[in-house]
Amino acid sequence: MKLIDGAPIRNHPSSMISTLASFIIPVAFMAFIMVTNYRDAMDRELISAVYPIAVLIVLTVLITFRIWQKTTYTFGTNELVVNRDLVMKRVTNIQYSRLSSVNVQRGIINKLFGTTTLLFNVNSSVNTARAEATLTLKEEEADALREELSRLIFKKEIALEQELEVESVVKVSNAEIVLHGLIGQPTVSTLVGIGSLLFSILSLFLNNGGSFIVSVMMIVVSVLPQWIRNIFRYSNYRIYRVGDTVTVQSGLLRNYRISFNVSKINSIRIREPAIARLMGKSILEAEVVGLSDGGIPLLCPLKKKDAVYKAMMALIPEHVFDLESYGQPREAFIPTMVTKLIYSLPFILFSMIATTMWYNQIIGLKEQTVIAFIFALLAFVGVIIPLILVVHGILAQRQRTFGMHGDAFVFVTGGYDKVTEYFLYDKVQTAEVRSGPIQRRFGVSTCTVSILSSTGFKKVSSGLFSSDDLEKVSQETMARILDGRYDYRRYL
Amino acid sequence: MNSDFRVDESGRTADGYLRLQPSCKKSMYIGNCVILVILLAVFVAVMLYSDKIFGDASGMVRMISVAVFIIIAAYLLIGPIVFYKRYRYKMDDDKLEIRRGIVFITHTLVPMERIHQVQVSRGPINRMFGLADVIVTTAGGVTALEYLETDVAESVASRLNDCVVKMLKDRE
Repeated sequence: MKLIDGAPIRNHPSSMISTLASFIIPVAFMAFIMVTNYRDAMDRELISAVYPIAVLIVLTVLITFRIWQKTTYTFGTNELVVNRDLVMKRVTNIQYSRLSSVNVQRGIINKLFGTTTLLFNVNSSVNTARAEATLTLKEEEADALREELSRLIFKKEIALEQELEVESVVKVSNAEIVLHGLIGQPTVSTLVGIGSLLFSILSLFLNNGGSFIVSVMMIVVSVLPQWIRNIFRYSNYRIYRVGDTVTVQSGLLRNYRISFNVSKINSIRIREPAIARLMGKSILEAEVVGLSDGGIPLLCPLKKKDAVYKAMMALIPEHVFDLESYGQPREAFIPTMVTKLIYSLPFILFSMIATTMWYNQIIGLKEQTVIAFIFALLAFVGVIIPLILVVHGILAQRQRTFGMHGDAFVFVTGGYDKVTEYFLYDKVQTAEVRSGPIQRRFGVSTCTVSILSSTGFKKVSSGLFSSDDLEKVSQETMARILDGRYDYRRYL
Repeated sequence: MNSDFRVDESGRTADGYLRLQPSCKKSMYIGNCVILVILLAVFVAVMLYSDKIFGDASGMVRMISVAVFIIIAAYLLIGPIVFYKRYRYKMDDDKLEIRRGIVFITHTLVPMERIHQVQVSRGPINRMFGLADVIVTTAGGVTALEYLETDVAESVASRLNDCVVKMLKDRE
C-alpha cells in the first residue's frame, strides 16, 4: 500500500478502542462503586442511576466513531495534511521539513491488534505535551511509512530491518535500569523515600500501625511512581546512531522508539545525583525539542562515568567539548551563604512559632513516642533543614563551574547533586545577567539562558561569577549571529 | 542626576539607552496602592485575630507581621522611583537590550533573530496614563518592555516586526 502521494487514510479502527478505554475504564469504575454502595437500595433507584451513565457511554462511542470517520491523513510529496471535519472543518498542514521527529508507541491495545501509533512532532515549544498529529496503522504499514518519512526528514539511508540489527552504543541490563530508577532521581526524592522506609520499619518495630501506614503512603506517593515509571519506560533499553539520527528504544509494556536529528539537540546534560556520585556513576540526557510525550531523551542511563563519556563520544561527538572552565570565585562565597540563610529563615521562624504555639498541647499528649516524634519533626524543620541548606551552599561553592570555548559554554551547578550542562551559543534564545544587592557588592552575578526543551522551554542559571565574564555569553551569541558563524539552516 | 541617566536631545543616555517617561511612576504607584490596600486588610486581620488563631505565639506572629508589612510597604513606596531610575532599554537592527530591576538588577539581551511574535498590551491602569507594554515572544519565553508611551510602544513594536519580517524575507 502506497502511503506517500497516495489516497487519504484513516486511523486503524483499534485507535477508537484506545480512546474509549481511557474514558470507559473510569466510568466503569464509577458505576462499580455506585452499584456496590447502593446494593441494598431499590431497583428503580439503581436503574435511574445507570441510565445517564449508559447514555454517556453510547454518546462517547458515537462521537469517537464520528471523529475516527471524519479524520483523514494525506501524505503528499512535501507535507502531511490532517483533515478533521466534525462540527467545524479543520485542516492542518504539516510540512515534512518542520517535523522534528516521528516517534513510535506500542501500548497494550496496539499489541493486541498488531498496530503501531506514530506521533508526528514539529520543532515547536507549543508541541511538547501533545504531538501535532497521531496516526495508528498496521505495524508493517507504520514501519514502512516511518522509514520513508525518516528518509525524507533525516536523510536516512538504511532500512528498518537493518536498523534493528544496529548494535546499541550502550549496553544496559534491566537490573541497571532498576538501579537507575531508584538512585537516578534527585537526591531529595531518594532521601524522602529512604527516610520513609526507615521510619516505616521503626514504626513496625514500635508497633505503631498509624505511623507505619503514613510512612508507607509517603513512599508510595513520593518515590514509587517515578521509580516504576522509569523501570517501565527504560527496560529493554537500546540506543544507536545511524547517520545524523539518534534512536532511543525502550519499554516494558509499552514500547517507545524516539528518533531525532543531532542538530535538534539544544543542550547535553550530565546528571550526578549524590548517591550516584558516591558510586562514581552519572546519567547522560539531551534536551531535544518537539518530542511530545517522548520525554527527555535518555542517552545513557546510570553508568560509570567512563562509560557515560564513551557513550557521549560515540553518540554525539559534535557535542563533546574541551572547555576551559573555572570554579566559582571566592568573592561568591558570602553572597551564596547569605542566600542560603535567607532561604533558611522561614523554616526557623515556622519552627519557633509552632513550638511556642503548641508547646503545652504537645507536652500534654499521653504517648511519649508521639511527643518525641513531634519535637523531632520541629527540630528537623528548624535546625536540620537550615543546616542542609547551609551545607548545600558550601558544596555549591566548591562545585559550580563556568566555562566557554568555541561553539559552546558550560554551567556546572548543584550542591549535593551535580549537573553539568553544555549549551551551543546558537541554541540560546535569550540571555540574562542578574545580580542582587549583596552580589553586586562582591561583583558577581548569575547568568540565566533560555533554550527550547523537551518540555517547551526552560531557563538554566549559572552559579555566581564575575558579571563581565557572564556577559560574554550574550555577547558571543550575538557575535555569532552577526558574523555569520550562526547559520539557521544547520538546525532545520 | 547620575550621568548614566542624563539624556541628550535624541532622548538617549550616553551609552545609547532610552529611559522611560516619568508618568510610568504614576501607573506603578496606582498598581502598588491596590496591592497595599489588600495587604493592609490582611495585616489588620492578623492584628485583630492573632490571639485567637495563634494563642501563645501571637506576640511573635504580630512582630513578624509588622516587620513583613513594613518591608513590603517600603518596597511598594520606593520601588517605582528605583524602577524608573534604573529602567533602560536599547534596540537596534540586531538586538533588544533591557536593563532593569529594583532589588535585583537584570540585563536581558534578546537577539532579533530569535523573536517570533511582538504584541502591544495595555492594561486599565496603563491606559489611564497613555502607557503600554510591548511583549516580545521568543521560543525561549517572553520578555516585556514595560510602561512605554502608547505611540512609542506602537513604533517599537512596528520596528521589531519590520526587523523580523525582513529577516524572514532574507531567508526565503
